[in-house]
Amino acid sequence: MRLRTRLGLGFAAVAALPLLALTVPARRALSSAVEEALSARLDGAARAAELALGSAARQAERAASELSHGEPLITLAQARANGDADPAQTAELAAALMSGRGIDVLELLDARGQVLSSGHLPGRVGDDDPQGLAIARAGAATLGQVEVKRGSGIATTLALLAGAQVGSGPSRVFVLAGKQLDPPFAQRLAALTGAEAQIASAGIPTARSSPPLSGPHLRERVVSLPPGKAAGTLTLRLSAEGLYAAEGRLWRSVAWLALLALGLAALLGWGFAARVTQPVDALAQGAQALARGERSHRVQARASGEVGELVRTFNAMAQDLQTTTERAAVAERIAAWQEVARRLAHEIKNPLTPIRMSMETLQQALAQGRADFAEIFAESSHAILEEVDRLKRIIDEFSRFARLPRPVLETLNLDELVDQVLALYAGSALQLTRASGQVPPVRADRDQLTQVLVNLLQNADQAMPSGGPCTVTTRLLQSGEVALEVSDAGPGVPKAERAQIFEPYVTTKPGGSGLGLAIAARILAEHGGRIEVDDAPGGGARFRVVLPQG
Amino acid sequence: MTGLVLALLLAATPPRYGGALEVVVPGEVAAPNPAQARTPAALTLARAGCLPWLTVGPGGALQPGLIDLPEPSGLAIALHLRSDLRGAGGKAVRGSALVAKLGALAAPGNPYRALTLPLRGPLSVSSDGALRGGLAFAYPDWPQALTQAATCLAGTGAFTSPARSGRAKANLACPAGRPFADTLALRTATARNAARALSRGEAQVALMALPRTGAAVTAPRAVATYLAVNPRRTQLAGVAPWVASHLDRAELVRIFVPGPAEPLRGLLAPSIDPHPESPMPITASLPPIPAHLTLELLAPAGDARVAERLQVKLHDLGITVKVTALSRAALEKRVGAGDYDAALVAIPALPEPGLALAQVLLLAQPADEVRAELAQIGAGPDPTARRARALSLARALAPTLSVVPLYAQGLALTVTPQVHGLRFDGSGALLLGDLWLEPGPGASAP
Repeated sequence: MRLRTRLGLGFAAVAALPLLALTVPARRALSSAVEEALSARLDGAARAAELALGSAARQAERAASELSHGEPLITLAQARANGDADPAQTAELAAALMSGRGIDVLELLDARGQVLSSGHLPGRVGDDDPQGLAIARAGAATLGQVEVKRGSGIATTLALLAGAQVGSGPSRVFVLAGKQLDPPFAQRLAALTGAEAQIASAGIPTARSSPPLSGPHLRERVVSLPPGKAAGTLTLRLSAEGLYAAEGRLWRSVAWLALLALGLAALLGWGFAARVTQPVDALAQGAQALARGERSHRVQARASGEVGELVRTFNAMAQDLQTTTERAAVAERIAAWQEVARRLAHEIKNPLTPIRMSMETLQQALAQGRADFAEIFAESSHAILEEVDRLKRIIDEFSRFARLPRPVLETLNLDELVDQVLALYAGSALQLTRASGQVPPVRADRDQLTQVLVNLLQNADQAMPSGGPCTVTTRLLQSGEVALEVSDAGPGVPKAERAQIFEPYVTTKPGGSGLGLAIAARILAEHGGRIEVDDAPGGGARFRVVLPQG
Repeated sequence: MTGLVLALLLAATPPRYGGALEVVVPGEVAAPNPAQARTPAALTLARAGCLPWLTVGPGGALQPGLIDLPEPSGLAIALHLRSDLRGAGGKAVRGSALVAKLGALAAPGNPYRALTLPLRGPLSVSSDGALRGGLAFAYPDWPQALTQAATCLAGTGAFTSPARSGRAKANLACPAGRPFADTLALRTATARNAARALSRGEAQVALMALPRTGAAVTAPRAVATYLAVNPRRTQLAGVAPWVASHLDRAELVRIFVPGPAEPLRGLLAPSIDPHPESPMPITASLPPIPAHLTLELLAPAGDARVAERLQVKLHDLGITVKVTALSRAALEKRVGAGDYDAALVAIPALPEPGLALAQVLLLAQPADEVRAELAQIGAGPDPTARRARALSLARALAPTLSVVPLYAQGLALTVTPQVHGLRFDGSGALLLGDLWLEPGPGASAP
């Protein structure tokens, strides 16, 4: 992992770790705050509900008291005492008296508990209501059950009931006034408290403000209804879904912020690291360039301190290396040319000796007046001319080696080139075999590559003077390079000579110029390729020309 | 008793024409369509502006109304419009109007449908203007039913149609003779205001019961109310017997029924069968009521209290009852279509026992069965035998029907002492045209 990456990750970690460390306690604190808020809301709701229930109870007591002192019921009691109370008119009385008093339960009963009039269930008139009579006799508000009309029939509901008596004696009338703890009352409680309200009698729900809440985050508070003829509870229920959803949104926002901070920290760290490591990277690249032989490469980085000193030292060292290398190259070139000159002089010197000897023979024969001078002259001049030709040939080849033109690269089909060249050798002593084929094209100078192949075939021909098998193979190497191989069945190249045979004037053949393989090696070097030699599979030599793909 | 009182009153004072008859009513002052009137007050107001096909004289004998008295002619029917018959504005009355009137009563759910059951088909108007048709079976008492107010034709009654002010003039062209009063003045009032108006002489008649004010008149209890349970809904089969055995009708009437009413002790209204021989028999063993039984009780808006009482009593039996308030027309339409569980049905009784029984039977039986029973009644040799057969059939069928007789209502009526000529027709409607006023502070001079 690069230093820049490590530094970037390090910065990100430094930014993220405090956030992560804060998350757990912050989350606990927030959940605790939510629960406390819910608890406080439920406490407030319970207090408000108790106040509302107390108010309803007082309202029932007030209504019962006011009605018992009002003219209609006093008149009714008197009429009953006189025996001229109309049952039908009495039956309609409660409904008329109920309106405007804030009550929704009103029943008038006689001393035996028979319903004389009912505002909340007029159809019950004429029936007995002992529970209602007991509550009405008691007077104070209490919890009881009443039957009321519902949309699809008659239902029993809880009510806060209070009673009063009108008149005395057998004709007296009892008033039972009250407030239903019905769904509308539950809805009012819900509006007042902000919680779902459910009223239950003996555990069985009798009224609720809305469809029951559901979900995992419900909190409830049970409020006991005032004691009376029935037992009831009011359950206030709050859903914390909203708060927990808000908390979830908050934590999601925090997570996004953390991610953003993490990203920014990583980015900043990466940028800072880039600033810090840029001279180091440049030094690394400079070292790699030097390794590749780019002696003139210098590190261009602005740095100060130790790194700046390192950069300057590196550049000075590179400069020294370049200077030394150039000097060594010059010396090497001089040495090489000295070697070439030495070998060339040696080559040239070889023909000079026969020439001198032939000339001295001619001078002696002329001085002696030899009768066979003409014959000697002919032999000597022939020998001289041969050596001169030899000299000329040496000079021509050297000239060709020295003035080898720059290759003109083009995309070549190597198989096609090989086939064309081999066609020229169709009548030679070589028993040519073409192998493989179908290699990718290469970028090469057609003439120079032809010359390389011709040189290799001439070598094979010369290695097998009386002919022999010669195999020319083209193949695609695993490295992606294209190879051209020429194998013969000649004596081969001794391993000890394989390193020198591509140098000028090194030959293993009698009469060889020593420049053929050197020219081939130079051509391939110009093409970015190389030439190698090893043993052919059946003996003999195998030369391999390797070229990059086109 | 009422007849005796009226006869004494009539004998004491000669009738007197003229004056304005001030009538206080509890509801609307407009005269309703007589075929749609289902309460004694509505029938009275309707009857003031129209005349039925036949009328009943003071002695109970049939008299011509819109038509002359028909001659007995076996199964053939030939009804002749009165030659002097004129409608409102002096326009001639056509026989086709009467035929259409009778045809409208034949709709399913109409309580007067029984009137058309003996007919073989609709009547037609012959070239001589007579209404002709035939009976499907012998039913000699069919003409008596034509005295029902439902057969009335508007514009032919004692008074013209009341104006917006509620005042109607005497119809001098009324075939039954002009009314005694020159003007009929109708107005709406509460019971308290009505009592005040009668005590101050500002009104002479109130179509409501006002204790301690004027004279309360006992009117015929001609409108009977029944709880009809749909016989096609088998799960409700036990409801009618249970209600019949558990409902205290006397208490129901005493507490929940407004105006003069009495419990029904049989299938027929007291105006038809005033003294049933015994209380309606109740079957000994009641059929079981299915658990969690729910039913819808259709009730006219005016009978809401009775419906609530039934709801409570059925609730005590474990039956959940949803009360649906409807107009009478809508209720009768649903009952006629068989689209109901139970319904409170008010039937102004036809003034003939057999047809009055048929009105009730149609709530529980198919029309063909009712026709067969009418044919049995009509086969009686004389009116007395036919009446006896109808009454005995009513008592025999009562326990088997999915109909519970509840109560019968009569007209709630209070009059001042200066009002004379009180008379009711066979529908229980007060004949306002027969009323006349003694001269007094509240009556205008003729």
